Amino acid sequence: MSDGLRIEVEGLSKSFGSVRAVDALSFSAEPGEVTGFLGPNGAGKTTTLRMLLGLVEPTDGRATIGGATYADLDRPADVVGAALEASSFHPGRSGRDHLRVYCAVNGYPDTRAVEMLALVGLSEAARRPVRAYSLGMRQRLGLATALVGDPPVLVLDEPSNGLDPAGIAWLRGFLRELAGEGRTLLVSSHALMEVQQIADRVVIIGKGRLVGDGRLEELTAGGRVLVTTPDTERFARVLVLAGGTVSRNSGDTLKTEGLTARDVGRLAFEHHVELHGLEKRQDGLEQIFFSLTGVEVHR
Amino acid sequence: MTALVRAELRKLTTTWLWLWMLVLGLAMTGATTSAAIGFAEPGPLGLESAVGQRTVFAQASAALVVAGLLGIVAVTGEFTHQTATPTFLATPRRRRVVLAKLLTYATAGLLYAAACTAVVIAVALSWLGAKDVDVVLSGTDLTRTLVGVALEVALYAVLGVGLGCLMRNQIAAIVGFVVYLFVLGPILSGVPATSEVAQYLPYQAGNALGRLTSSVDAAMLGQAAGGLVLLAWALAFAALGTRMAIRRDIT
Repeated sequence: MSDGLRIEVEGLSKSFGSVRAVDALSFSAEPGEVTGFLGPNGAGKTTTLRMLLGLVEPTDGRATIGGATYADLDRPADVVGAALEASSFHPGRSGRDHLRVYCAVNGYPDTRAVEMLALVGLSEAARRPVRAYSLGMRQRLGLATALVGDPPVLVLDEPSNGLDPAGIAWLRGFLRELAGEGRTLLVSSHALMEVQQIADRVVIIGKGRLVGDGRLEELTAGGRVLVTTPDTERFARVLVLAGGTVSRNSGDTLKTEGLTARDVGRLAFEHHVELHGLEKRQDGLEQIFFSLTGVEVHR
Repeated sequence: MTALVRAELRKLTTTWLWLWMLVLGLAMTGATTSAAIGFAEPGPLGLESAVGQRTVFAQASAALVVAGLLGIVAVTGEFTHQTATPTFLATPRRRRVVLAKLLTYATAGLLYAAACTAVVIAVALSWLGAKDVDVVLSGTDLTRTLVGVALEVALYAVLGVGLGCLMRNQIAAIVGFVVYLFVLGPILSGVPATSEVAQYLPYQAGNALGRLTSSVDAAMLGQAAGGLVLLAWALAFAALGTRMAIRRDIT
């Protein structure tokens, strides 16, 4: 693996007929970080990634990897690994043969195919045709294809689709490990929850436009805190005096906005309030989206 | 380019399509060779004549159907199975992928033709021997026919790749190919009004290359000219298809 490379998207636009799928989008992804690329379905994530990878011709703007456009890369597999959809395999070809095709294209030894299958946990299914693979196994094979050249940059489109909870946990650890090695990871998702634990930064788009870009904590600030106490009346007054907006959620539970969980816990301690529960409720992508754009996401 | 051709060969050999197509090609060749001998009528084009024997030994051209289909599937299959995405990710210069496919399938076509030629020779020699018919075709004549047919089959594979580039839709490309090969091509060549023009179309140009003469009096180019015309069609399809269809966005 060579040194870290940045992904840079500048003023990227794509029109399909009269539909503006991506509109003057600019953002970057840095080496050693996982950048979550978020947006509701149909926001233009896949089109953006496909423009970055030279599969779709941009109407305007440009996207570069380490300063070069994808088409200018001499042997792209050495630089960028991409997994775009879990269905781009010939159903009759085995996972091992699929990888061996890409070893041949790039002049890598065939042993690389076997190594990659082991890396993503597909060794046992290596000789089975892809038509016998589950969606999760196809995702893993896509990941193995992306990694065949040990590239410093990885672009993954919805990699957790079709994975079971154990698979998602595995993926999370795997991606963190890859970023820890100094690689640049750009990972798209339509569900905030999925990238929350792995993304260092997030780029959020809606209707082809950038709506948010930054550290996840910054964007998800302003969540709610649920606190359960037998002393609701008194504690509600304390919280309001401290600047929070308080409403009764149910029974003994208060819903607090404008205060962090840390604030609420400290206030309880200082005022000797008995606590039975203290829970941070982070905003989902939909709420963040709403707070950033003021537009309700139609799903 | 060597690496790309190796990759294309690997794509071809790692699914079972190549084997089914080979079996189909061998079976068709066996059938048409047998028919050419079994249904031959006495006369100037009969089995005893050089022309008649040339027709028998040109029957490996039956493999051109499977060669064309293989070429079509080589390109359209990439879109049907969405493998176009990883293919063009690995090789963003798409023209190089098309070029690799042209070279790969020309080679595959030659190998298929060689296998089918073996069937022709085996069937023809044993059957003619059993009928006590002497082979009057000269060695040069026989060689020209066998080589011409092998090149014809190879060029049909190339033509298939070109057609696949032009029409990314697999069903449309296959139907178009089969209809042209079995209906339009023979009609255009056979009808006197269009025969003159049709000798420059792929079907009759291929016949010229394979030296397949028929009893129908149709205009036909010489062998070398026929080969060049067929090659030109194949490359024109590929070039035009690359420009128009292959360059399109892969979404």
